[in-house]
Amino acid sequence: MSAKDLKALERHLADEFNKGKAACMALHDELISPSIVYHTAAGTDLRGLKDVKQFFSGMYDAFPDFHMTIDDIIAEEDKAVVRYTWTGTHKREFMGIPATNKKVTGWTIQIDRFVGGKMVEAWERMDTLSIMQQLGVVPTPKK
Amino acid sequence: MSAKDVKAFERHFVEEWNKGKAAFLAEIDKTCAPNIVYHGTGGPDLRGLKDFKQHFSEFFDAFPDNHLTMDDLIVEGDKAVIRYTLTGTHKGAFRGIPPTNKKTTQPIIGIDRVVGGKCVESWVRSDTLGLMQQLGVVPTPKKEK
Repeated sequence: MSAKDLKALERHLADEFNKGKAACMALHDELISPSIVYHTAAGTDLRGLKDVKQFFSGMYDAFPDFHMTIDDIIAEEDKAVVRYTWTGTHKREFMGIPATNKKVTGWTIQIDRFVGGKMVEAWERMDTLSIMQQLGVVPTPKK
Repeated sequence: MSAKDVKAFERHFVEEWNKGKAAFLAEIDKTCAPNIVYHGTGGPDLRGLKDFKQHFSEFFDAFPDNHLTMDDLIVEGDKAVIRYTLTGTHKGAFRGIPPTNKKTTQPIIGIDRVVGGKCVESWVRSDTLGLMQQLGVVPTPKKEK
């Protein structure tokens, strides 16, 4: 796949994510490898499509209005890097935290590796502490 | 700069980082633009070389033995994406937290925009919650499964 193809694929992924949980789940079956390795922002590694789908299913349950906006895409060979801003309202339990109804904003950079049009590995990094501070479960230090 | 040049630039930057605070601050003077914009993880954006250097000076004081290992380098046009692992022992105050002497490991992805041999803008994202848990200032939740 060319850098141009990878960028188009990433834009498609974001569009489908923004349609909600059902579209995102269907997208996973179509474009994510059964043997995907997903390195989450929280430092855990998910192996296989089942666990990755469950992860995103839980994310949509917690933040049903999840929405991502791509800020930049950088592609080289088999990898695409997406810098994006996401928002979501915390409507159900997330990482053991009961719903707070707070709207949070996350800033993520993610590297995705593709083989034959399918995502085989992903590394997701974001300011995880900021999410906990926005949810009000970890205090925000005074400047 | 070609992709090859940008990659060499980034590798050199990491080598200088790993020589410690003095070498790294000298490197910043040489390779970062005076009007650099730094979108760090867990903090306000920094604008200009002075604030940028101050930030990293304090970081080296907090983690004097910190060490970067480059895990991946992806370049397109004027942007370099680095995936790296940062280790360091918490020996000085960090974000108001007194030294804990704990050894920390952070997985990080950074994007640098490099123009004419100088870094002009940088974005960094890391597992800041994981870092606070390693320092013992935020509890690590028990797995429910």
